[in-house]
Amino acid sequence: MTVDTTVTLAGVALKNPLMTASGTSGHGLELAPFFDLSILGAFVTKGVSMAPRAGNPPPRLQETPAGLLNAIGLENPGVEAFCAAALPGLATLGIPVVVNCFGEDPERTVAAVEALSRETAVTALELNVSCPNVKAGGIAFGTDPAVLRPLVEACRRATAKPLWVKLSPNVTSIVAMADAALQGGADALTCVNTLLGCDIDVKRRRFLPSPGRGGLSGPATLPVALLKVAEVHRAFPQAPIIGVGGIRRGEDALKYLLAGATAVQIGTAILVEPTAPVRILNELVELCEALGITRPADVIGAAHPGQS
Amino acid sequence: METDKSYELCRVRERAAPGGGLVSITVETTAPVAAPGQFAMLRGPWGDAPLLPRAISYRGAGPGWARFLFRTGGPGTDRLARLVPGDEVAVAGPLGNAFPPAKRPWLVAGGVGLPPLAFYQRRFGGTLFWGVPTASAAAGLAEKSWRLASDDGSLGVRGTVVDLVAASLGELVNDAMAPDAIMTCGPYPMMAALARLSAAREIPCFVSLEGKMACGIGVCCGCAHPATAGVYVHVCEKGPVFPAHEVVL
Repeated sequence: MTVDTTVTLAGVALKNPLMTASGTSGHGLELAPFFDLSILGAFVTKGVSMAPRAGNPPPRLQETPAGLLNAIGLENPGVEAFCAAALPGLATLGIPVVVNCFGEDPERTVAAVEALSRETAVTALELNVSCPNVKAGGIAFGTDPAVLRPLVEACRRATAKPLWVKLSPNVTSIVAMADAALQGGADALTCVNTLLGCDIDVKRRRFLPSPGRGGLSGPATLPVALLKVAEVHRAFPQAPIIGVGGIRRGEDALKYLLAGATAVQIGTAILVEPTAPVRILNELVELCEALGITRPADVIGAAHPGQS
Repeated sequence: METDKSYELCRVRERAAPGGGLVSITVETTAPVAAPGQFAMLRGPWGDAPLLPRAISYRGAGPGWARFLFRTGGPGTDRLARLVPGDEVAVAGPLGNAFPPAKRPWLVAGGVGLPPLAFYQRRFGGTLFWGVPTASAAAGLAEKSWRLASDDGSLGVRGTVVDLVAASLGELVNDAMAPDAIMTCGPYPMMAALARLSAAREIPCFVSLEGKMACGIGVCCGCAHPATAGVYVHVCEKGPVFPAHEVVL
């Protein structure tokens, strides 16, 4: 049995549903020594902003049970250096290149979107709305629908490229955020960013990582992220969703598809095992063969009653 | 000195636990031969916890094999210590840069900072100094040519390895015998003291940093360390070996 792994995500054709997750695969070809990146459905970069950012002081990382807390602080070289140094290499891969971007306020967010939209090597933009808005007391854009919608609208006006919005799970209702992003003109929704959490060094009586909290990723987050995908799909069955959170096996990827995701992102698994996407893709194909699924695209959302 | 990186499942060929909480494992590998100072990310088949691979310095390497020496005591190193010959362990390496070449290097190790410097001496020569708390912490690993210091005097001279290096510098009868570089790996206060000592004598000093890492391969930006230039360096990407004056110790 041959499995047709192709999917179409908001107009972007992917040869398979697997892509890297922002923040876990570098800005350019850092992973290229380990595997052929062109096997991916798409490559998603670490987030970039208009101006370079040095990031947070150490410790930026804290390992937790089956998880990882990070507080990198959005370190990045800035749009200009990214476009000069990293983008040309990504353009040679021959797969869609998705640039994750953000700004410290609405103006700088739009400026980043505009600047990246001028680059032909950029296939689509993924907007990180989990970063703090310095003009609104540091509250993340993605936690208030009344803030999120105009931000997405402004970005929508600033680009003709596909615009994905990466939603935060740290909200009361992710459906309300998904609604705001879609109303604002998002083409697809990435569900979800990391879960806020913290650890404590009992000897020094200090919170970890260094800012006192961080974003939790890894296998521990899978059930939470999977439910968010399911909730968004249930509310907006037509909205293309990219599922992300704790995927480390082909079976995990298939679960996200069944929950309603069209594609998935591999994140922390790459930190643990740099070649993880190769194995996960093989496992996904083998599992589809075993389950008689000739086209994974046909089972998107199939776990929801009435859709199988 | 830097080599290509690879990721592979390696077969454990030998394991030794000489004592003092130290464990050595030797693996079969097809990766490029590591240089002294480089490290690898090691992880065994133990499920989702602990999640991350561990950054471990090479103690030795040759065509087809690599040896790692580490101290147990954490959830990852304790698991690695349980590997036995025949087991598989995932190894990403060789990673990072290496200690630079020198004509008459002094190699100064503190505690479990020994592996990269013992590896360096084996391959290129140099004078090795090793400081340990007690003779039992050295686990019989000290070689005859090494100059040793211990806190309680049970191995080598009593005192710190920094005191030993300072005394040895003072005993030099002429400049031709002086080290042309000091390379060090160990606790940060020890490396900071050596950096000051080296700077006072205008001897280049190279330190090997231990950053908390997730990936070890330059993608997560987690192992940031303060640089004297006022920003951060990533230990896995630009290091782990740095000229001492470039980093805050």
